[in-house]
Amino acid sequence: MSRAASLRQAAYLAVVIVVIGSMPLLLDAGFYIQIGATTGAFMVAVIGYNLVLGETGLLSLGHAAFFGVGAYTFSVLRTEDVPTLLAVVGAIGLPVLLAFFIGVITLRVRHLYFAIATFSIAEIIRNVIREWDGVTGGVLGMSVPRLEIFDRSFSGASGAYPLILATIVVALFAHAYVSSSALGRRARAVRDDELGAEAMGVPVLRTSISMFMIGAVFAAAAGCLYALTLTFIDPSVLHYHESILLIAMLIVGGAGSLAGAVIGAVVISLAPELLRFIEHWWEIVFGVIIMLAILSGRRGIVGFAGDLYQRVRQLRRHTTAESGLSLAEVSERSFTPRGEEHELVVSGVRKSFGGVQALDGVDVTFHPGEIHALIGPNGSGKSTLVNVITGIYGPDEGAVMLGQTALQGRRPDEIARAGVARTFQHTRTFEELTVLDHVLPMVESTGLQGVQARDEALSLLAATGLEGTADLAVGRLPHAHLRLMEIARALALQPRVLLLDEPAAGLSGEESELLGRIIRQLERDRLAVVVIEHNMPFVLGLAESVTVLGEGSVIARGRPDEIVNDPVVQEAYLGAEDSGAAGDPVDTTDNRSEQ
Amino acid sequence: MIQVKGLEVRYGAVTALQDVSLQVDEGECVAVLGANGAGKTSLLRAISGFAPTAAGEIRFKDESIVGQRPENIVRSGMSHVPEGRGILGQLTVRENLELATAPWRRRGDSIDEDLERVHSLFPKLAERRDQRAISLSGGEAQMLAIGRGLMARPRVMLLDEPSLGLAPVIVTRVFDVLEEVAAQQLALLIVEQNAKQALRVADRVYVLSQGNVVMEGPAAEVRDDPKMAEAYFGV
Amino acid sequence: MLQLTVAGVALGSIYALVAIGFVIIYRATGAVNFAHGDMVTVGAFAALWATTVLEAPILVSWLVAVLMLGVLGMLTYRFVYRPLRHHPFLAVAIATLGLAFVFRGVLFVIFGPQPAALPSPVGGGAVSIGGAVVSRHLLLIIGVTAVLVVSQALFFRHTFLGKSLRATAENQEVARMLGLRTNRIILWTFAYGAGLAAVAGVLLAPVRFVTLDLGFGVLLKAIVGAIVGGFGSLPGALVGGLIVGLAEVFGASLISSAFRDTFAFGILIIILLVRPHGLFQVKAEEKV
Repeated sequence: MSRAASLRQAAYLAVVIVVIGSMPLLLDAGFYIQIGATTGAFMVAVIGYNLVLGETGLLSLGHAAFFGVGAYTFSVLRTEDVPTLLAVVGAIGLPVLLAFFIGVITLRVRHLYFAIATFSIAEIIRNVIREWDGVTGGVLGMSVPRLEIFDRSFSGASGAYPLILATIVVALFAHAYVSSSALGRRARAVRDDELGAEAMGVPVLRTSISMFMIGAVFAAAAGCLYALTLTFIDPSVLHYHESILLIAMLIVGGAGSLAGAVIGAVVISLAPELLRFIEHWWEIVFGVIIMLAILSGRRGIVGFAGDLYQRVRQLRRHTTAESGLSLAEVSERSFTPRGEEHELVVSGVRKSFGGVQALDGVDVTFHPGEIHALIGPNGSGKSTLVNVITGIYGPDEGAVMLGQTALQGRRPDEIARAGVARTFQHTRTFEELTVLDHVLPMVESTGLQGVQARDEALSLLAATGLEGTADLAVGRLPHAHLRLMEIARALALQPRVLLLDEPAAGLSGEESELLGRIIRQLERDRLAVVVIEHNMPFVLGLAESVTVLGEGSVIARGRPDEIVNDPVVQEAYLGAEDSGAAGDPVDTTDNRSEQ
Repeated sequence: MIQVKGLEVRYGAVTALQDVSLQVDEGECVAVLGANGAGKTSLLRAISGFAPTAAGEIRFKDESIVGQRPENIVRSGMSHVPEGRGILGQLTVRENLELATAPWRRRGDSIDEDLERVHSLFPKLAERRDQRAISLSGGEAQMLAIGRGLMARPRVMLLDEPSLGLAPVIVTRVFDVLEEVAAQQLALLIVEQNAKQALRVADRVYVLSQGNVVMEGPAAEVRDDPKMAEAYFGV
Repeated sequence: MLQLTVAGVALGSIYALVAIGFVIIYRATGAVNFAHGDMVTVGAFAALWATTVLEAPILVSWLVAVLMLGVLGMLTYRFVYRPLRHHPFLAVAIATLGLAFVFRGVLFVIFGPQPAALPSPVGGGAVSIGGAVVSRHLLLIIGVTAVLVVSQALFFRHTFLGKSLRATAENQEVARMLGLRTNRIILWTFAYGAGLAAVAGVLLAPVRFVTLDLGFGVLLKAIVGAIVGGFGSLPGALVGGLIVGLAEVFGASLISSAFRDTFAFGILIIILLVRPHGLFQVKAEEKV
């Protein structure tokens, strides 16, 4: 979603919430004020949690810790007569620091670790609060000092109510802002495909930690509001039940959507109150709803409603989406790589997996302004070489140099930012996001922002035959469009070297021709383009120099016509009659006479 | 034994195979040749039930097997030796061989005779029987994969690129063994890039290019046909 | 000292049993089961039901619990995991959190919130070993765990089904190529994993009361154990579980009993800082 659309959605939600939310206050309905206030506090936390779970894909099982630490810090500081503003700063600052610490130690490893570590730390903190009774009142809890500003009390449900409504509005806009920012787009890239995001220059760890810390801000603010509302807190506010409640709210409402977070908070808070007759069956219903939300494959209530809406629309219009979409003509533009012109030199690279020597001392140089084909039979090591160059594997030996910069041993995102971009054999996309959503984060990683970034992204789309597709959801695009979008994404990084892993796979003749035109444009713009391809007619018609890999080393290099007639290459593909001879002379002449 | 008619395989929007027909008779050795990306692996995976069949018919022992579970197809007498060999590295060599007897073995059945037969074909496997399979070299792993295929007592064995990633000397040895195996009662369907080796052992050959069968015929005819290189290099 | 060690090893054994069940299911499906802890609870309640309603002897009630959980494990696979087998890790994890709620809700409806006691088959007595007084039930926990761990190792190494399980865990597609009915094998894996949870539940119940919260806390410490040992490794789960149990018991009695849980979870933080892949590092360079 673009920033404007995001903010517009936040504004709609804000209006609805303020209108409905003010009613209990206007009617002075005490019961609903009470429920409304706690629902509102939770809503702020869930909106923040959506940035963590929904947008970044991080399952925190201890998010209530930030909520609780916020509430306690606020209460303790206020008890010590610290000025309100400072107390709020402390109440938000401490959880954020905590989030930073947790992020740094757990996000380096697997997702499960993060979930368990967040849970563990939440339990440790609850333990500390429970036992530190001199300050926190221990298991018995503590009362929250009254907050009065200009003789107006902000304590208790009705006192805190306006404050809560205001905070929700701020939270909505803050969410819309973060989600439509460069950081938000990077976070979604990480969520959808960590490896792909890394290859596109996204610093995964930094992005995840940032989003986690922002989520903590929301939770801490919600904690302060909660403390004000209840005027009394005990360690149960940090209980894992509360964390799971947040997850349930988000999943039921619809993870990844702001409206989903809001709706989930309302439904899960109100349902137990309104459905009192089901009594203690509530937990079962609750669990079943969570499971159904996942099993149905939809994104909660919001996703379900969205599907219904789409179906009604399709009934009316009978359009089968964009299946008939054809590629637009490519627009002329130049792709100016960043920085100086450099060769990419791979020297003596070796890599083995278990007992298999996948690369056995590979030397190859890719020159700027040259289309270079990397071919070889199955298992010859092409993909491994690309993965070594782009940092997905570290080489066992050897060097990869871009000019004077050594790339080996660096992280994929660093290599991408250093000027080596790639596409993947299998297009990695997220169906519900638009084409623009896929390209923008890459453009932004070069430092462009706002309108400039958007213009650049649109121009890249135009230059890759994707004009007019910017706002289409990727899930409905034909295959060829996706392959070209991959290239647009890679080009957004303004690379010096572009590695294309089987770009023509699955393309029709016409589509590959368009692809060829784009690649030739890159050649004119002095990029070094490396094409790994199975489609021989395509690649041999395109490249001016060819490197052939066989069994992990370079077995031939030269112009396409030389390569096709090279007996060593023919042998690598067609096999040798008998193992002793390196290329049967009779055989190769046979083939040659035919050319 | 195997009849394939008008087979089409698609992955999402990408068509991997189009209107492919082929046949393997009892005891026959058939090779499917083609460069990588030609659709050879998709063909084998469709036959053994791992890849969905978008259109067409696949019959095994005169019964349609489209839509059947792969493990049931294997149990009815079709071994699949996958691309990259599919060795279970954490298990020992012997355990790998033993598990492959799942299709026929009942409680109390002895597998010694079958083991003996595989060991005589591949003496190296006997030497390394108690080692973890991950410690095998590429060639030994391929031997194990073939040995495993034989342990199932199949009527037909599918082999997906047995030459993959092996040194030429080893490739020759592998195909020597396949020749020996083919001489027994077993039908073989070998998918290969290494045409020279495959042509040596095959009775009949199909050549795939870009998902279509572009040539077929007895091995002796295809061997001398200049169109072979064209199918690989497209020139 | 001996007393503490026995208590620590006994608690660690419980964690290890839970961790092993959790890891076995993870290895078979690549997905975590956050409802595994509530399976421990269900196991304890199932035994409680058998002793009170059926008036079965305690050992029979154990058997009932294990069988019931075996069936529950299979149902979990059939109706939660199998439909979600192509879903991402997160989705499955969250669905099992929902499942945990269902388990707990059902127990609440049937048994209510009051804690109940489940007796031990060896009674509440203690024996004296070298001057230290040691509870007989704790020794039973250690004994049962030891027998299970050893027979499990033998099972995996020497039976066809055991080898099939390992093959399926390593590579499901290859297992199918060998003609193994992986669906059934995974079903048995779930039955076994859930059965282990039941054993942990009935062993733990006499030490603590049977409450709705019995299992979840145990599960998280068990997962901590599995991570400490190196997630995915079965020996790692055993050793890690024991380490967490010992740390908890020694920390609680020597330093502060109020911070009992902090010792267990604290180990996780230390391990993540010092040796993020655990003690028995599980090596696997993922191929793209």
